[in-house]
Amino acid sequence: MDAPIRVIAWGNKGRSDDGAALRVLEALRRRLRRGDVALDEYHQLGPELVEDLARCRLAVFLDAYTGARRAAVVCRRVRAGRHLPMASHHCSPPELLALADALGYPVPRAYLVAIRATDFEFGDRLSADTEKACRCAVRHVRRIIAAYDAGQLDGPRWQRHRSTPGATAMV
Amino acid sequence: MTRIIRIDPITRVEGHGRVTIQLDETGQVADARFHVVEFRGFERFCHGRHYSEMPTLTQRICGICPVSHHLAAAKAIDMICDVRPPPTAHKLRELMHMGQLIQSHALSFFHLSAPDLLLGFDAPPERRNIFGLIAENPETARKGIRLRQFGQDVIAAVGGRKIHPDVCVPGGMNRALSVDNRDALLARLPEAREAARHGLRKLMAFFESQPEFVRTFAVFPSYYMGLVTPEGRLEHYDGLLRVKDAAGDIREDMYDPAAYLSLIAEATEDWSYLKFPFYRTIGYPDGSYRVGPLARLNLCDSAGTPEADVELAKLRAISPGRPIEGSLYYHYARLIEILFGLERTERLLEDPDILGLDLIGESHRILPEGVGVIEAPRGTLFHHYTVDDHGGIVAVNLIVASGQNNWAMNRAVLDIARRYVQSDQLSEPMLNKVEAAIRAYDPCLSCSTHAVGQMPMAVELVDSSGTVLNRLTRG
Repeated sequence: MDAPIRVIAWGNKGRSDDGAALRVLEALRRRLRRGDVALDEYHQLGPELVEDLARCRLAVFLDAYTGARRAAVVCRRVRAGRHLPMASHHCSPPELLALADALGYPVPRAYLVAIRATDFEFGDRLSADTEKACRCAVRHVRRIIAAYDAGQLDGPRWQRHRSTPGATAMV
Repeated sequence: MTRIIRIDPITRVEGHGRVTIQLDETGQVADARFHVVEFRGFERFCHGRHYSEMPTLTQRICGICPVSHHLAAAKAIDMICDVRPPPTAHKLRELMHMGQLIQSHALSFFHLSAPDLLLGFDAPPERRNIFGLIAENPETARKGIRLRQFGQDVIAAVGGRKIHPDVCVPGGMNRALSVDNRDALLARLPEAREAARHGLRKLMAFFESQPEFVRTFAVFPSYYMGLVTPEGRLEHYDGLLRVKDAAGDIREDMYDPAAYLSLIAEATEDWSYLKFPFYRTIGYPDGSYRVGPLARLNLCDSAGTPEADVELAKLRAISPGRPIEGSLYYHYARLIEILFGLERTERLLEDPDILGLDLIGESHRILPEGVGVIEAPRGTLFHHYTVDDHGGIVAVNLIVASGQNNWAMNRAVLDIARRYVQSDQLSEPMLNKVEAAIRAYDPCLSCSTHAVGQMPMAVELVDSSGTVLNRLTRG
């Protein structure tokens, strides 16, 4: 679908919180009934996505995250990476954008909305904290799309750096 | 003093593996091993689940070839339900499988191996990747991406989505193909075929530029195993097993895949989670065999489609009357199979049955056991389930392609290490050739250990006392 806005979620629903992004996508599917927004679900990102990306103006990547950060949801601008080896069957958002750029395709403005995940055991349920974070992520994706609609993505709110433990972090 | 080189992790393959190269007191390569160091135990995880869940559950083993697991599981549960899918369902499954074959082979060749083959094994590592390929030859990279996308779109048209389609049910399919989807795919076939031909031309140019390198790269005798049609032609979705020996003589033919346990067994080594399947009649390790694109083309009498048969004849001219043994020819075979996949896709799309609505056969009884065997892109894939009276899974045995090429990958690594690795001149291009020997088999180690994870790769050089002398890590 040639939609100007593309939300791309990936993860594994069979590994508990690893499926968080896919849950967020399901919620968006119920709430965002717009023909100009494509909602794509993947197990992992592959290079063939580059053409879909090149046809959109705004891309929002949705993934689960783990590590030292404590924010329930981390949102940050994603840009084409440099010196990336792309050494496997799958690739990251910066690699995908770099691939589009290298091939001479238009590179969309892109954001990553990452949901804090703690439980990666076999299972199809989210942990309580991640489930809460998913609701926050849905709101965040909708805010990004609303800002795009209003032509505000170049404004300071979407450029500044904010990171507060336990809350949405814009980095 | 013996010394050991480890390559850890290996790049441009799927999963997590490591190579160890052991040097003897004189600095010569004494041994080399390809270790698979991830473990998942998917076979245990499925215990207690209902058999009908298996196509959905097992395809989560892999994000690269989920369709293969989905289909092998579907065939196993067809057998449990004692039902044969109607012709439309059978053809839809094969069509989705062709999409899987095309997209997987396209990714392997154009993205993961073309940087070595088209930019050079000795090219600087920072340039020897898809971005380097784009800089040097954007048309090849673009065609590769679009070819892979076509394969994914075939899967999506049949299965509803590109990855983890959930359409196979006991005895058939739960989704028909629409006229619009069929016509859209047919319209894109000429471009896809041109991309495959482009890949072949590029590979031939490389082969012609370095004939000695190609002719001698990881060449060794082995057995070969795979499915063929009852007429002996190339087969991926159905068919019967054939085994050939190194001389090209057929040792087993028209072997019922469901009886695979009488044909093959698995050995274990204490240094790898990956098992070592072998041909029972000969034993381990002498009965080790290869599977996958080159094995399939060594086994079949013909491809059965015009363009693939022309290329197959050219491949066979390399070693008339005998199997092709060189590991780099796996890339050639992969491209021929893409052509075959595109030709089969066209035939299936033009078959009126493909738009049929009779999608599920009737089942009247449940059997205690089911075996599903297909030719996944990387080789023969076995799913074997045993169920209790309530249909609950009590035993699962999965034998995947990369596992069956385990011995071959180890042998290839040893050959290349002996040929190119010198302890006093350890270099990245030298180690890249070792990796390339593994990459020729396009292993999916996530599948073969049924394990979670990606496959960065490492090489380690160790002396006879166990001291690590050199380590190269990537990924």
